Amino acid sequence: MEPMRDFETRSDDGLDILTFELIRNALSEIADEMMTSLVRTGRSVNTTQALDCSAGLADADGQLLAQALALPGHMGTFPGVMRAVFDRFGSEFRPGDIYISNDPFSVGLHMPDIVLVRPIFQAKELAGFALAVAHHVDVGGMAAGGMPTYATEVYAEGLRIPLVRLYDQGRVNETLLEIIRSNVRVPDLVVGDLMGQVAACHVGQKRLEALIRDHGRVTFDQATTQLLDYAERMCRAAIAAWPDGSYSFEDVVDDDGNEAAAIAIRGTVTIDGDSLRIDFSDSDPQVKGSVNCPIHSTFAGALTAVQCVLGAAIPANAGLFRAISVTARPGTFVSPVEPAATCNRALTLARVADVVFGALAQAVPDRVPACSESMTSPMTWSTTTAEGERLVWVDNHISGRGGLPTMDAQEGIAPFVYNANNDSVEITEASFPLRLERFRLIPDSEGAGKFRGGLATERLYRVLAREATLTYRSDRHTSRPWGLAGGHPGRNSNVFVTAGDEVVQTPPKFTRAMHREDVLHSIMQSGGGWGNPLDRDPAAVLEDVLDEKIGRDRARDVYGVVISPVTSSVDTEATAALRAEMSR
Amino acid sequence: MTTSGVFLGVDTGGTFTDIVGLDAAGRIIVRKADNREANAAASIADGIRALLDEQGIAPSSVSRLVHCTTILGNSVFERKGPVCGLITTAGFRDVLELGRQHNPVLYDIFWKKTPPLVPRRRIVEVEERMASDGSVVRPIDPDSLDAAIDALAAQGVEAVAVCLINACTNATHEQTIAERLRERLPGATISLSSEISPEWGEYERTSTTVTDAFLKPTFARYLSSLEDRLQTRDLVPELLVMQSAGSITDVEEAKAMPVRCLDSGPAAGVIAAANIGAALGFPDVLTLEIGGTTAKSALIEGGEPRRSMETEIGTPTGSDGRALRGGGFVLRMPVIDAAEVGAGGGSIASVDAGGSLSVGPQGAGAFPGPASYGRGGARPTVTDANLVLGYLSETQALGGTIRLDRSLAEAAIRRHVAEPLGIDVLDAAHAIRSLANAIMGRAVRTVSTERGRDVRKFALLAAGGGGPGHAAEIARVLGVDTVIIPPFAGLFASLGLLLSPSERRASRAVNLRLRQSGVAAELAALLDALALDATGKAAFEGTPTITEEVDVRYAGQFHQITVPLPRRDGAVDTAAIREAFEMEHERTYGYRSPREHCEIAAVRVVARYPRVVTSPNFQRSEGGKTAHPPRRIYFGPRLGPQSARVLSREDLGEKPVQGPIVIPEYDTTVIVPPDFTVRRNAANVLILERVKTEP
Repeated sequence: MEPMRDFETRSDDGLDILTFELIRNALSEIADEMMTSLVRTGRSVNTTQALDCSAGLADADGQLLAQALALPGHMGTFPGVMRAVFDRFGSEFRPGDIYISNDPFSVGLHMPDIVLVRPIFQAKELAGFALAVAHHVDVGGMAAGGMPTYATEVYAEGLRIPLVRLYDQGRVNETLLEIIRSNVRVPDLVVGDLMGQVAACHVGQKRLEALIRDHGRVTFDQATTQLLDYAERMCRAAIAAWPDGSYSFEDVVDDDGNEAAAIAIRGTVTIDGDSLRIDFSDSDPQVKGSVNCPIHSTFAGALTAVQCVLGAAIPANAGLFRAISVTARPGTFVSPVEPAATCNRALTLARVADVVFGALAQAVPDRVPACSESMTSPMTWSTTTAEGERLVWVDNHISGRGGLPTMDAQEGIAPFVYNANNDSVEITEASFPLRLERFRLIPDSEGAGKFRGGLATERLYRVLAREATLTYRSDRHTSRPWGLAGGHPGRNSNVFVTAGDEVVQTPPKFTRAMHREDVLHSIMQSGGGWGNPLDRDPAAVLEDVLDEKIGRDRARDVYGVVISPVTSSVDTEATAALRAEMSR
Repeated sequence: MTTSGVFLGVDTGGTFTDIVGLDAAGRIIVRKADNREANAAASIADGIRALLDEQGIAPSSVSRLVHCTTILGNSVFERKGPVCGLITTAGFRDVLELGRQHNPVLYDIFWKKTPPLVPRRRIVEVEERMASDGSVVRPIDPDSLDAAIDALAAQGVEAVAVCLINACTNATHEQTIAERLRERLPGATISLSSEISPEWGEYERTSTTVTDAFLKPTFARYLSSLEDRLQTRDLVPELLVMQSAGSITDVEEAKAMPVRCLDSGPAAGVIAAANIGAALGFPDVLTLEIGGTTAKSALIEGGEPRRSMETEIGTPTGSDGRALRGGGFVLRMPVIDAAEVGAGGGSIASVDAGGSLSVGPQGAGAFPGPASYGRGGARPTVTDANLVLGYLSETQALGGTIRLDRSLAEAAIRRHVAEPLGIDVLDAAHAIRSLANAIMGRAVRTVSTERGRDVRKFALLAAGGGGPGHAAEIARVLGVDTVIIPPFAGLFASLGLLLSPSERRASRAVNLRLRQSGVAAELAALLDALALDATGKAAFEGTPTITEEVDVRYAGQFHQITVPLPRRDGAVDTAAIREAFEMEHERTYGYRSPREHCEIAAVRVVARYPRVVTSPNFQRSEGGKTAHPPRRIYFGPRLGPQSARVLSREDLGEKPVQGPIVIPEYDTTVIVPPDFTVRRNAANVLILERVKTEP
């Protein structure tokens, strides 16, 4: 046995590897614990079931250190949120403070997303920040749910909370809470969710304080510096391996909820050595409707796409962001100026991600999926019960993903930018006078490809209340999710409302009154395909046919696969002949 | 104490069957049997006979056998099971495949779902509909039912799950379908969601019911063959089976609801911990059971393990060792609330391209196993690090059979960790062990800190082959001062089998506002009906203790808290329900909200029959006092390398002895670091206490 000796495991920077790993793991754990606390104590369906909320931790300089397993579309705005907090409060951070805002032109999300930021102190010194954001089921304004499809100015969208103190050195700002209570339709749910966010910030404070106490401030600072550098190093190494050049792509949002005209996002991704620049300045000017996307949200969308292409191994922190810059000319609809309406900006944020995916597919084709249903379609139902109680229910329709360079899309998984849950059918019915009559995959709807896109899904709701208001935002009614490498595009969306004997096909975004027995039938887009469908493995086509996801006719007409009606197996010879003919 | 006859606890794992017996004099006897035979039932019967013969006990004197097995978990994991079908409400064919639609991991575009146990082609819809309040919106259309059954029959379905929308509030449609299935598909087993998991949430209930259907034929066959095998070896005990909730049930119910037995191994260990902890004067205990590739922890308060109404199996583990919830199959059923992380003795250590070290979740398994096993494993594991650091020794055989080779462990650590990081082998081994400790500690934190509990008020009870060797260091990091190591720590789950109460449960989903008028009367009537369900069937010995509980939440919340339901002179006290709920809410989440409505989501009755075994005698001979040379162990940068005494349990008494000490045993190795003392109490339990010294 070799002689033992006292030793320390040191890396180049002087901090031992073990301490580094412990602090790194603890930071993600704290962010996840904040999220758990928020989800378990929140009140609204959107927080507790749909998980439309997020949490993160930043260092004393406001640099993001860790984020929870939550929504990339939220968390990508955290750098912008922290900049706004520093601009507003400068060096006035005090223990027990909690800052609050939902201002699209300050923290940069949309009004239903209320952000809380708590400075964390350890031994009386500023040590970092806890961030918690939740999409609230109502923020007042012209429509329940805070996402009026027909809004044209920020003032109509709801109560705008500038960046102010919700807690001032531990004392709650009762005046503000009363203002919020009196402006929203469901004050218990909104304030309940807010208190869930407060609880999450509290957990962040307590756990980070303990972590720094255990390791000492100097070691903690060394570890976080190293953690950010590590992410930057990995990010730059990955980008350096991609071919240099400028890659442009254009995609559209169908309409702005006011006018039926498509709005274009034009992006150019420039890979330059180990850094990456994305510019959206050629995009269309800001619009009257509510799909304008504040620049911090545009950043979040672009960043999410880059992170997906980089892969999950690189820690999502401010170090990673250093290698990536995102710009857009103010006044475009991806960098709107006051008083633009922005409450439906999440859709645009997702389309920004699509544009970045489309551009990167030219540079690194083996790492980019075909276009997905990139954003869920959120609907807000509102009614008043016979007993006079106000009910607001938010539901998300989630549909198909795009095919990948090496595999089929997984069916019905939440979008990359917006990792939400669906609402349970039974819990929806127990909570709101609705009956869901259908929630399933639609056969033959996939974007065909060597690796196919996910099938579209449909949800069908029957109204049981005497009267209810419905606000719905969807997209891809006219444009379609694109395929890649010869893959076909996915199908488009369609929404129908049946009122009495009349069936109406709705525009993508609408707000309307619904009455008892009226029906909403929502069919959302499917995912695009990757690669030529004629190159698809016939065995995979057969599996889809047996599972009744694809009909025999479609197997033959689109994939060139002939399935014997007698044996339910692939007719190899007929398939080869048909495919040869179709390839000609 | 004495018992009428011999009681056996039999825990069948992947490679070993652990048998723990309690003889008529209250003495504990143990044997680890190799699962060499393909037929698990045969291995068990033979192992029991070998133990009895060794001890000179007549087979006929075995009166009770409590069993838990990994066979159920393995069949899900390996997807070996019957051809399953699912019948559901028209419009909802894809509930199972779509799930909750959440990604368990961000930025990983290549992530794949675990495919459902029933493919779409064998999911059929029936025209029918229940409303949320249990009223019938649309009666069953008999033609669509027959067509659905025919479609399943044509595909050779052997096991059918039935899960209809809102069946949790009215089971009659599911029952009608069951009747028709018995007529038209007589050979198939049937699992009804309204019986398996009568609670809200169509996806969770479907997932649970489908898993039950998948297990049913296999488990029924297995239990029958076990009974037969035992009989041919002259063993005719009452056969009982452990459930995931930590209670035991009879063969009939186990065959009817196998899903409730799915995760019973860890539950058994927790039950043992609860009983032993309470008997020792440690009613508040955190358990830490470390096995080959995982570490599990559970919270026990006042001698009662915390239970949960939902769990997930087949969950992949993330790069940081955390379970990726949403990646496996959700099961809504009572379970012991345990947290699991992907780090155990066999977990592999590796270094990524960015120079970051990780441990697990990949494990080396029994074959090839850690590098030091010399079975061809090249990747370094936690066990290899322990060997290099001196915590384990080449001279002590693991489980009595496996010899370790230090040079192989060193070579693997050098190549895969030390060289990529540019550090030497000892540094690397220490980093591996410490990182593993941090990950294992996370399981403890999940069931304590994350539930609002202060870990410092608990003792850490270490079990499993690896627990006693890591527990003290993990306790130190968590801020826990006391570690208890029971006898038979490595065979702990089997011991739990002997100590579990028999139990029956009945539950019902509801949606009631606590302040609504008439709620108290409605609850009372519901509970009385459920109590009949729970005690009506063939009962166990003795008079059951009836516990009534309700799941409560603030209006709008999705997560519920289960609270016991107090009755005053037979009447339900709704104010007391509210108080109990708000107290627990405040404890777990830090606040209460008096102005909001409370809702009841489920009511439940648990009939618990008296424990047959209460306090066994834990004395055990480990071969007496023997002199071993001291071992050099590296205890980390602060404590440094030190010479540790090698002792046996018998060497210790009530007087605390200062570490460093190593206590090698048949089924585990106990490590007492330099900053801990160890003593042995009258019940043969080792108690390690941290010495608070000024540096």
